[in-house]
Amino acid sequence: MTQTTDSIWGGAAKVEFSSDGSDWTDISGHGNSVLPSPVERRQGEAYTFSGEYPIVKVGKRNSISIDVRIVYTEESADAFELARAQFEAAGGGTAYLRWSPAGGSGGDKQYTTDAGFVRVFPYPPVDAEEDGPMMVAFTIQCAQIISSTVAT
Amino acid sequence: MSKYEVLSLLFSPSKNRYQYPGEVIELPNELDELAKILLRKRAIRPARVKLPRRKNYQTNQDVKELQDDTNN
Repeated sequence: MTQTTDSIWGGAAKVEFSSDGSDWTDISGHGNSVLPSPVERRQGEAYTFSGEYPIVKVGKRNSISIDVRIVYTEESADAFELARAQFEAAGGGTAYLRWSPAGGSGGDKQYTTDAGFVRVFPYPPVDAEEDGPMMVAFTIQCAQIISSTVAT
Repeated sequence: MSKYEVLSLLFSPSKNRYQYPGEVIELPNELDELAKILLRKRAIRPARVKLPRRKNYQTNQDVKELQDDTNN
């Protein structure tokens, strides 16, 4: 097989946050990394007296956690404030995230969470020895990620 | 304006909605480049246009009807 010429550089990705899955805020200007945990399927296994190997069965899929690292700022509706509002909302709030590794132009892939929530939220840590810019990372927990292609 | 059939899930930022496999979408001619990209990625394919069927043969029923018409 010949070497691919379609590799993607992730440094110009597009990342958006939403609290309703309809109105999206582009947080690419604050976003530093999006790290979805590998998704696992549940599985079960049992041994019998006769066999040497277990009987293995595949189950349903586990939920997904996505770590989003952002630059901390104190703007009115920045990425930090959007995530904080949903984390502090009574009952846990709602959070959607979508990102396009190649930048979100026509033909690029886009990955969108279903309705999740901000499971882990950090209030800004301070460190006298830190040179900045200050970074924080929050975690979104969701059931699934939908893959689509950006059209028009 | 050209019609295409969606083959894999598309997201339309302008309409803010998904376009599902099997759906027929229209792309204006000025988006030819986008259409080419989506075709290359097998996300769409040209929609099949159903042409009216043209009967170019005679069935026994046709012959019988023709004979009936002639006799009448």
